[in-house]
Parts: sequence; C-alpha cells; structure tokens
Amino acid sequence: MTAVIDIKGVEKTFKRRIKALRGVDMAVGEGEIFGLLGPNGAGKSTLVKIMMTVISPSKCSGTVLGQKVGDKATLRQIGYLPEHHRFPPYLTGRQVLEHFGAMSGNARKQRKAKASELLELVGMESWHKDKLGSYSKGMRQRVGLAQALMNDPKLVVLDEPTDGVDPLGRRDIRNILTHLKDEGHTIFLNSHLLSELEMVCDRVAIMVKGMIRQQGTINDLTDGLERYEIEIQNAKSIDTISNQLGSLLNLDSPSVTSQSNTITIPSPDVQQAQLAIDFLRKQDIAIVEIRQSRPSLEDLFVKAVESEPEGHTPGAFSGSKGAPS
Amino acid sequence: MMTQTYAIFLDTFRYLRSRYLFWIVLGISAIAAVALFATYSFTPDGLKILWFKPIDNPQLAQGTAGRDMFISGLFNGFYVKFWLGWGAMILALISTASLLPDFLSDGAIDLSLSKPISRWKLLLLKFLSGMLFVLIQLVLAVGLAYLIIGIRFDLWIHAALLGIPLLTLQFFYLYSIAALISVFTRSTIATLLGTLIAWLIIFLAQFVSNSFIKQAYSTQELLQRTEQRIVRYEEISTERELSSREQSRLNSYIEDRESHQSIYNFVEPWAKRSQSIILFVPKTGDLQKYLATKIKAPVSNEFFGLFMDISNEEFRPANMDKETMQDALEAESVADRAVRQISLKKSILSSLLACAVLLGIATRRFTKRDY
Repeated sequence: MTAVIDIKGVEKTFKRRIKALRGVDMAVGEGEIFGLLGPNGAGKSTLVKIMMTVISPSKCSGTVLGQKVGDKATLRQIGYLPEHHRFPPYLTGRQVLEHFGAMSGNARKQRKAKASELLELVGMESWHKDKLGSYSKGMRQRVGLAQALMNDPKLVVLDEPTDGVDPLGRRDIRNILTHLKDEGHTIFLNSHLLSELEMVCDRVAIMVKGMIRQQGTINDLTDGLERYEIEIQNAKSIDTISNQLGSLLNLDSPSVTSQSNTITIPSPDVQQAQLAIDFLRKQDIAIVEIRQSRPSLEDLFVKAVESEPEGHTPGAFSGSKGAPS
Repeated sequence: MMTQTYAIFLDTFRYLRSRYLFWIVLGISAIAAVALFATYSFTPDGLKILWFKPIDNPQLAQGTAGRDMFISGLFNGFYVKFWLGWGAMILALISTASLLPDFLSDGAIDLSLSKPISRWKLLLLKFLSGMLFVLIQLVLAVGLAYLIIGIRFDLWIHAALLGIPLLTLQFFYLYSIAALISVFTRSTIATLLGTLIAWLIIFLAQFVSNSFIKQAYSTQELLQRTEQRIVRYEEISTERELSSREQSRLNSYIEDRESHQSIYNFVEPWAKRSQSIILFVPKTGDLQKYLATKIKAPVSNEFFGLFMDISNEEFRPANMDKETMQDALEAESVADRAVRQISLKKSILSSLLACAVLLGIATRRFTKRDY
C-alpha cells in the first residue's frame, strides 16, 4: 500500500523549552481512515498543524503525498478542517465553501458545482444562503467538513470533526467519512472520541506526551489480548471466586478480574476458559454466558496513557490543547 | 494565484460591506460633497447660498478667478483636509483595524495557512485588500465632488481626481503601521490605538518641520522686503539728507533687518534638520500639499481675503502699522506656498521605503511564526 503520509522523527519544541513532539514516526496508507488519538495536550493538533504548514517543525523528515512536509503546492491536494475553526461570520455557508475552494486554487465553475454537491452531502443545502453567524456549532462543523472537501482532496485531515455535533450529526459525519473512503480518499482523523474512531478507522495511532505509543489496525493492537468473559449467577462473593480462579489458572499480570456478575479471564487460551468453567461448575455457580472479546480502543488508550513512566516530563501543555501562540 | 487574489479581495469586500461604518462614511462623504458644492451658486454680483439673500462680493462673482479660488479652497481646505484626510481616514482605520487581527486570530488563520499560497503573499494580499475600503470611498467621494463642481459650475478640476490615488497612498502609509502592529499583537484595539498614536507623532513631526520651514521662508521674505526698503532709503540719502521721520524709519528698518536675520539664522538650520528627520517617516501631509498645489488651491490668507480685508485696522494689532501688517500677511502667503512646494518623487519614495521596512518586518514575523 502506498503511503500517503510517511513522516519520521517529527519533533517540535516551543519557546526552546516546551517539547510538544518528541520524535513522531507515522505512516498512513492510501485509501484508509487513520485515527490519531491521545489525551488532551498529547501533541495531536501540533502534529496536524505541522503537516498543514501552520507550524514549522523543529525536526522532521518524510513526506506527505510524496512531497516533503511543508511543501505548499501539495496542500492543493489536501483538505483540512482545523479544531476550533472560526469561519467569517459575515459569509453564508455557500460563500465559505466558495472562498476556501478559491483559496485552494479551484476554478469558479468547479467551485460553484462542488459547493452545491457538498452542501447536499453534509445536509446544509437549506441553509446555504444564511450567514454563518446564525449557525449552530453542529451546522458550522458540517460546513467546515464540506469546506475541507472543496478541492476534491486526496488526503482529508480532520481535527476533532465531531466536536459539538449531536449524535445524529456524528452518525452523518461517520457515514460521510465512509463514503469518502469508498471514493478513494485517504482520511486522517484526529479525535479523542474513541468510540467514533473505533467505528470508522482502519488503523489508529495512540499518542501520549508527544510520542506515538502504539500504531496499527485495532486487530493488530489487540492481537494476543483476547479474553474470555464469563457472566455468572448466584455467586456469594465474586471477588473471592475471582481470586481463587486467579490462583488456579496461574496467569501472569493482568490477572483475573471481576466486575458486577462478570469474571474476565485475560487469556486467549480456550483451555484456560475450560478450566475456569469446570471450577465454577464445581462450585455450583450458574453460568449465564461465556463470550470471547477483545479490548476496546478505550482499554488500549487507557493502558497506553497509564503506562507512561512516572516523572516523565510532559510533552505538551497541561490544561491546553494545541500550540501556544 | 489570480483565483486566490480574487478570493482574498472578494472576502475583504464582503467583510467591509458588512460593517456599518462603510455606509456611514459613504453617507457623510455624500452629505459633505452636497453641502460644500451644491448649496450655493454664483451671481453676477456675488454669492447666493440656498434661498437666502444674495451676498454682494465682486471677488466671488460669476466668471471671476475668485470664484474658482473659492471652490478649490473649499475642496482642498475643508473636503480634503478635514473630511477625507482626517475624519474619513480615522473612520477607515476604525473599520479596517480588525481586518488583519481577525484574519490572524486562532481558528481563522489555520485555514488560510493550510492553503497552497505562500505566507508572504497571503499577508501582503490581505494587507492590500484592506486598502479597498479607502479606495472605494475615495472613488465615490472625490468622484461625486468632481461631478457636482463640474456640472453645477462648469468648472472641471481634473487635478482633483488626483485625490483618489494620493489619499489612498496616505492610507497605505498608515495601514503599513497598522499591519505591523496587527502581526505582532493580533489585537484590534492595539492596532487602532497604535496606528492613531503613530499618526499623531507623524503629524506632530510634520507640523514642527512645516513650522520651521514656514518661519524660515516667511522671515526670508521679510528680510528681502526690509532690505529693499533700506536700499531705497540709502539711495535717497545719497541724493539728499533724510528727514528725521525718514531717518527714524530707516533706523527702524535696520533694527528689523537685524531681528529678521537673527531669526532666520536660528530657524533655517532647524528647518533643514527637521526635513532630514522626517525623511525617514511616511509623510502623510506631503500628499495633501501636492494635491493643493495641483488644484491651485488658495493659501489661507488668499482664501479668507476673498471675504474680508484682513490687513485693515479691525484685524491689525495696535502696535503694527498697515505696511508691516501687509508685509507680514504677504510673507505668510509666500511661506504657505513655499511649504507646499515638495518634491513628490522624493517624498513618496522615502515614505514608501519606510513602509517597505515596516511591511518587511511584519512579513518576516508572519512567515516565521507558529500559529
């Protein structure tokens, strides 16, 4: 698969002391939806801004769409929706699209046709004559998404696209992303809404304190982390049972855990599950359901964030997102 | 590049159109043009204002040079100097002060920077588009005044149209300062206040320089006139003995000459120094001086002289005789005209150089900064 984004060793230090990025390596393949996730202040927006030439990196090698990072001409093929964007309130929805389409170098006729098509795609055709000042946050986000598609980009970079959007709107945006992927666009999605990413992303990277901690498909990242969950009934003390099971199965960390009426065996080994079932049956405990599951993206995310060594200097800015200005 | 330039200018036009001040300035310009050039007419005997009784004044009568002087005096002294050069300019600054800070604000600038256009082009195009406000206003305001004067009085002052580029250039000087402050502060208030303060400083520097130049020319003129009178008396004294009154007069002239010489010796070097100092600032006033010269606008004494004899006893200080007063007034007029005599090329080039430095610093900051 051709890499649309292939960057290596991206570093950014603000004001000579604040290390926002500490050597980021990342590759995004053509036609995939790639999700970058991380806690607030991890450096996600800084990385996006570097790719979009809004911020200059302290160190960076690699390419975006085959050209060196920072190449202005390449931006003609990239659509971008920044986080906390502020479109001119005196423009109508259509004017916003046409303005940014023109800024991308699109011809007038092409802009007009594309704006109509995209307004329909994001469900804003009825409001296209209203000024942005009268739009809700969700409506502005839809127009913002349409704006990012005005130049029919090969790569679409979206920074928190569902921010402020209601559940129905989020579903619509997910559908649009899937539609774009089907059309062959590559989508780079920056979000901290894990469920959103999990639903649409082919691959994800988890960024913590300016470094990529994990990167790959969700299956890759959860490979070997499958587990069995056993839902039981009539147990007097589920914690005791869980401890006994832990000793019996002799598992390394993480050990057997319990929550509510469910015992989790953190092992993909079916034999371990069989041993657990035998043990529970001997104890005369009713088994309601046994299911095999994988950790969610949230589990991976929490694990990645919590495994950060103590005393590590923060990579980005506590309490704020993005770069200082 | 053309598409992007068009997009930036169109966006700025929409931005300016959305601001009430755009329409307010346009309205005041129209009212001022009508009030100054359409509320009176000239009769064979003088002037008639609206429906009021005609004012007899042969100097302003139809077909006289005084009439043309009166109109060009109003155009220059009131319409250009007070309204377009000051009032409208301040309102234009208020209207456009937020253009660059808004453009550079968080959330807005990201999108512009992520487009395939270099940063320096982006900033300079946005800056130039900010000139649209003044350009549109001036085309309409100067154009309207030009048409009213031409149609009503059959007086087509083509040079008045120079007001459009010259006053636009004046705004360019001020907006260069605004651009620099905007890029560094991204604050509308700081941009507006900073620009107004800078303008005030430039105005004061020009005022001081003009005062020295005017004083130097005026004193030089008085010196020449006194010298001529002394020579005349000395010639008389070679033919006959001067009467005691004449001798006293001659002595008075000799004293005056010394006094004028002393003032001139003090003022003249300062006039030169002040000109050298303001060489390095954008000279907003020079453009209006050039326009005044081109439209042959009268200097203040000439303009007020159309209505009254300002050398008569009513206006004359008690210790000044009519001849001295006449000399002082004429010297002032000579000095006023001399102050207007500027080298446009030198003034514009040096001012543009100063603006280029300001814009260069702003562009460098903009291209290097992370947003």
